[in-house]
Amino acid sequence: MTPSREAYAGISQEAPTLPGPAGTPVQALLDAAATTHAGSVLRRAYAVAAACHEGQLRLSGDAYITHPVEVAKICQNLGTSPDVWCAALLHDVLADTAYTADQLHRDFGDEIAGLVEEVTRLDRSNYQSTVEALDRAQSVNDPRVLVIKLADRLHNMRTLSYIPPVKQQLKSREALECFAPIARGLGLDAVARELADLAHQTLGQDREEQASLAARERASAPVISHRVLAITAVLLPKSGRHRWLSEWTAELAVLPTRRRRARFTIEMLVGMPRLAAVLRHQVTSTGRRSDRLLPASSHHGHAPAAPSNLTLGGKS
Amino acid sequence: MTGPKMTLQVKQVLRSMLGEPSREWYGLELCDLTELPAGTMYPILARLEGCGWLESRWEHTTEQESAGRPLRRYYRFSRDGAETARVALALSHRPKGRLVREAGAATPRALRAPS
Repeated sequence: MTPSREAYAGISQEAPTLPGPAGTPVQALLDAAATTHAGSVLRRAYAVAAACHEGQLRLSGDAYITHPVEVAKICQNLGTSPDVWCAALLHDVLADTAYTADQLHRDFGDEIAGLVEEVTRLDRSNYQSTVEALDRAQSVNDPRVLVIKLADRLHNMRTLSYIPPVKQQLKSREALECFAPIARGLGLDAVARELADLAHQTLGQDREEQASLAARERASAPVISHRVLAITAVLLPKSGRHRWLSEWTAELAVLPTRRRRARFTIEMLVGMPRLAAVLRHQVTSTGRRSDRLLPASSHHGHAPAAPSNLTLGGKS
Repeated sequence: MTGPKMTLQVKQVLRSMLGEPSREWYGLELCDLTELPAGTMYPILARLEGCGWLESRWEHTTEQESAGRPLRRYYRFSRDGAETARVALALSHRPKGRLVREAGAATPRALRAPS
C-alpha cells in the first residue's frame, strides 16, 4: 500500500543535505527517482536513515549511512522498484537505532515498513541463525526481502577487509554456502558471481583449490538446488513444507543435467509464492486442512525422512 | 466444496490426466506432458487436491528402492474426481463471448500470488 501523503506531513519534502557533491552515490540514487512521488519518499527515507545513523561509523571509518546507501544502489541496479530502495536505505534502523517499527509504519506506510521488518528478522550474525531466522520467518512472502538481504551481504563482502580476520572467514563461507546459491536461485547471477569471487579472495584459495572446489560444487549441484528450495520453502505454511520439499527431492533426483535441475529450481522459486497462497487459502478456509497433506503412515506408506541435505544449519 | 477456477493451465492438466484417468502421475511427469513449468504445476496440483478432485500418496518403498531414488509423490483422480473434472471441462467449453483463448496467455488473476 502506498502511504498517504498525510503520512509525510511535517517531514521536509526538500532534499536533505547530502554528504559530498553531486555525483555521490546517494545523489545518483535520488536522481533516478527525482521527479516522482517515489522520489520524495526516497529523499525522506534517506533523511530518516541518515538522522538515525548519525554519529555511527562503519569499521572502515566511513559514516554508517554510506552502507545503506550502497545497499540501496545495489537494489536499484538489480532493477527493483523505489519501494525496495527505500527499504534498503532503512534496513538497519530497527536493529541498530532507536527508531521504532511504529514510527516506520507511520512515516513510510505498511509496504516499506513490512520489507524493513522482514529484513530485520532475517538479519542474524551467522549462517546458522540466518537459517533459523529464515525458518521462523514463515510470513516472508516476498522475494524482495531476499534481494535486500543479498544486497546487504554483497556490500558487506565488498568492505570485508575492515573486519577481524576470523569474521572475514566466517562471512566468506556464509557467502559461498548460503548467499551465493540464493542469488543464483533468484536468477541474480552477477550477484552470485561477485559474492563467490569475494569469498574466494578472502578464503585465499589458489587456482588449484578453486578448481577442485568448482568440481565439488558441480558434483553437489543437486544439494545446492535442495538448499535453495528449502530456503524459499519458508514461504509455505509450516505444516506442508516438509511434504513438498520431499516431493521435489525425488523430482530433482531424476533430472539428468545440472541445467535441468537449475531450471526446475528457478521455476519453483517463481511458483513458490503462488503455491504458498494456495496452501494458505486451504489452511484458512478449512481450518488446519493442510495437515492432511502430511502422509499418514498407516494409509500411505510413510513420509520420507527429511533428506539430510535439506538440513541447512551447521556444516554440511 | 467448490471446484477450482478453470484456467487454461488447469484445463491442460485435467485433460492430460483424463487421457488415462486411472493412472498415477508424479509432478515432473505432468510437467513434461503438459509443458507447464514446475512453478505452475505444483500450485495447480495443490489446488486440485485441496478441492478433492485429486488425491496423492507417497510411493511405496518397494517401488522406490528398486529405482534407487527418494520417495516420489503420486497424484491420481479421487473416486469422483475424474467425472467431476470431465463435467467441469465440458461446462467450461460453453461459448463465453470474447474469452481469452490464446495458449500461453498471461497467468490468470486467480492464480497470482497476492501482491
